[in-house]
Amino acid sequence: MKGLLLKDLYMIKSYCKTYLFLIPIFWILGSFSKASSFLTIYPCLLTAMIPVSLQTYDEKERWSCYSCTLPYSSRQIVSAKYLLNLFTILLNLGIILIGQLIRMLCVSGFNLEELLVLLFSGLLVSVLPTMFTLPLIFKLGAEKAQLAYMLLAIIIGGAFAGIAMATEDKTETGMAILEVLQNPAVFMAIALAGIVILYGISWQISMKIYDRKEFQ
Amino acid sequence: MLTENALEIKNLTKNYKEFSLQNLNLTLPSGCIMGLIGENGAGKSTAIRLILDMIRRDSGEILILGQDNRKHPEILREDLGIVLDDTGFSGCLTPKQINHIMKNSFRNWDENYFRGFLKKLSVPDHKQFKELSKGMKMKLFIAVAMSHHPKFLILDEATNGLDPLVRDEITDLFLEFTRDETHSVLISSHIVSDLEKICDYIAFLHKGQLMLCEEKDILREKYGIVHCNPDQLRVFPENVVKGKRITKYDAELLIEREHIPNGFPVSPVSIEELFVFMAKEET
Repeated sequence: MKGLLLKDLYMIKSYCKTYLFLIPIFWILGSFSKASSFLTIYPCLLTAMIPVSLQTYDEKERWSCYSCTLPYSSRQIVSAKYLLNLFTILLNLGIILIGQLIRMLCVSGFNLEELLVLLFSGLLVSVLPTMFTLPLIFKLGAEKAQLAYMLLAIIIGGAFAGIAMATEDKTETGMAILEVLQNPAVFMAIALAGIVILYGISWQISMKIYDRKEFQ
Repeated sequence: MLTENALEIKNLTKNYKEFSLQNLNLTLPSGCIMGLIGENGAGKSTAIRLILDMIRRDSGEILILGQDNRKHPEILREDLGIVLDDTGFSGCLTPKQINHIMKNSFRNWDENYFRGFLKKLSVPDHKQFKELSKGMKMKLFIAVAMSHHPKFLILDEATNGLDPLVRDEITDLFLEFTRDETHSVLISSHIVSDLEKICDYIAFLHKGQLMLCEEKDILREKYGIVHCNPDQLRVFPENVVKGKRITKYDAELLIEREHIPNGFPVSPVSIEELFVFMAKEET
């Protein structure tokens, strides 16, 4: 799989120059500005889209078809994209951790809860787009997947709105959710477990889709 | 290990709404070159994509180098050199980067061989793929396909769109490749003259059906073109005429030589003529 990852790295170097330019600026600003949360997390959103962008290029440039001639299984081809996403997540979280530790120690003092919330938000933003978009792209192709992804975003947005309404109206479910949200440690633990499970499911689904895919 | 046949296809069928590849049976002995000839849409690319398991067959069996093509295709591809029309590298990649990618992909990747190949074919190794001409791109694909020392080359329309000089250069490479008796080539094209030059076996596909598959020299010996006038046509029973071209003043008939009566002028048939006569007769 090394060859596939190397190819993706060459493509990042060439096609994602804007990301590579913007991301360090956001990291620096995020570590030392007052509006640090948004600026710190925004690079995660940018890098999360890298595997999706690369898969779109692969399709457009007919690499997806060419890769069928190389000694890789469909599972390896799919896994390369997920691994790339995991590398970028680890890199992002590592940089957030270092940047925020420096900021806290130099400026505001160490705050574990704030650090965990930032790391968790970074993880969430890094994982969600890939987790939902990659299976759609593998199944429908980049163009149709964009529409499906928008639809999915509306559904997820609706679900969040539903949760907000339930908590506002103080329904039984709403109160239970509120209780979890008021305890960030519990909330993060539950959400983290959910993310790991959903990410694994997304990976498996993508492999199954790619295994059945036909390349004309 | 030398397998007797590089490729065996039995009763291969694939159905689409408007096209079917029906009961394809082919055998390519090791050490030989087989040309898959057919008009556009005859099913050549479908057959090759089925061989490579890029599309799923409805029925049939495919053995490549003695192995089922669906069993561990990623391992099998270590022994295959594949060039497909209408596929591509990412436009930003240079041949030098492609070398690094393939070095980390194929077990037997031969970096020196690849570099030498590019030099021999005058492919610049620092230019991005998107900046290369069509001929250069095809040469690069062929260099990649041959630089891990495969046993079997599978080429789909690998010479299309190239000028005659480049085509000649490339077909010579395939001939050189099969000097090793463990090496075989399956090449599809609708440029019949290229295949006529290099192939040992010719398979004709027409509208999804295999019209014939035979050694090239046998085909040339077996068939001839009879020249006569339209009034003499009734001398030849319908079942011996494999194809005909009739004008107001004369007629040319493609007939197996053993069925040609004495006294008629007969000219040898080229593979291209054979294909055109037969395909027209079927239409």
